[in-house]
Amino acid sequence: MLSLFTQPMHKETFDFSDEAFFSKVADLSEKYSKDTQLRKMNGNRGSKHFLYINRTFFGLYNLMNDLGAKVLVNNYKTLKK
Amino acid sequence: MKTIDSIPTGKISRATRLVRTGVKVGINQLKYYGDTLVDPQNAKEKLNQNNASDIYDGLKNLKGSALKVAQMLSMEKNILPKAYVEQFSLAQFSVPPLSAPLVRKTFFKYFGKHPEDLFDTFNSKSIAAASIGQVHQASKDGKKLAIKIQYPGIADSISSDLAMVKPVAIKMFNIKGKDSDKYFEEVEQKLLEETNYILEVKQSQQMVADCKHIEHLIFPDYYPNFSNHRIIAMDWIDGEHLSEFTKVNTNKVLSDKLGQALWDFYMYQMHELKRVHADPHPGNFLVTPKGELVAIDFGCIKVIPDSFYIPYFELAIPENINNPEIFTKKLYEL
Repeated sequence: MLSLFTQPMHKETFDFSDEAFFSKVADLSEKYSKDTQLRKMNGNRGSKHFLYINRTFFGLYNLMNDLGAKVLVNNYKTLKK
Repeated sequence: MKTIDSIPTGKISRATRLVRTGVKVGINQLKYYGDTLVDPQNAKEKLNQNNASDIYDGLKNLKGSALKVAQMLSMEKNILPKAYVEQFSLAQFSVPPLSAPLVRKTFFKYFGKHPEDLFDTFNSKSIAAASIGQVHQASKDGKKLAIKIQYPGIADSISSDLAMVKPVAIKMFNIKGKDSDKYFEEVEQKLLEETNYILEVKQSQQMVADCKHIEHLIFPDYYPNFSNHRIIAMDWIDGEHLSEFTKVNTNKVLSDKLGQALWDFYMYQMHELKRVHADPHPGNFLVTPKGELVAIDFGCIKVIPDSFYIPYFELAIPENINNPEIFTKKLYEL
């Protein structure tokens, strides 16, 4: 889950219209919901901070997917005040 | 649009609502067993659809934190069956608004003044409803303002609402007993923060100061003098919701530009500020006619402590994720 979530951050550009990426996200959740063993593991999620951080990424990626935008991943580094 | 004159604020009346929802879901389950005999293929889908709309109908009249939970569930698009997502997504926009007299009464209760005494104009018909408040248009000294008014009784009902929603959520999220307390405390604390509009104005002003240099991203100005713990006054900005925009937009250059602004905004918060707007849903972003992105609603800010940030993003580096030794070590740090 984490490796998938952070995947866009390891490239210089990322295309959020890439349905392959989002179908992987969908497959993963499908897997989670069907595999009872995984469901049990998923119960223990570790740090409470995951909750809102994962929620943020989920929301952000869904918005980016709706836009279907292609972005320069590290552009924010040039934005220092 | 239908308006409501009162919100069930007592614990008993709110609980009755939820019980009613529970009963309906039970009936749907029975119908499902009937349907599986006739049409097993579509039965499951139909069950989810019926359950989702009944749960939503129940939550809609509660507003407040129950609705917020629905909103949160709807974020996890891929984890929930599609039928749930569609119903819960409605939670982000269309909730029956408070009637005009109730708006006036609420405003007076919070401010000690009627809206028309404070502003030059005030439209008592709400323009948009959010989960814990609704938005009105007003003007003062030639400036168009957006006034967000919190639904009465929300802050007080959070804890009891959450206690009622908890069993449902535990099942949906598959959270184990031991961990559930930890998560619900976090949610409860964040929700309580979100009802504190004085805090929201402060957080919003901070975010504007930190991020206004990001290209193609604009923020409304906030007016603490016309705000208090339950009311927020900010600039009115013309534009359409991001979700409406993406439905009709065909201009790829523009969507790339907006996407870049949104992405930069989040990466900057995540990596530079270590403090993120943790509520990125389509209702919190507008697109102006000039094609700029507007970010609103900073009620939910998540501060990322270093003790989480460092292992999380170290873990994210491909070399580490593929190295079982480091991976396990970092995972334990979390």
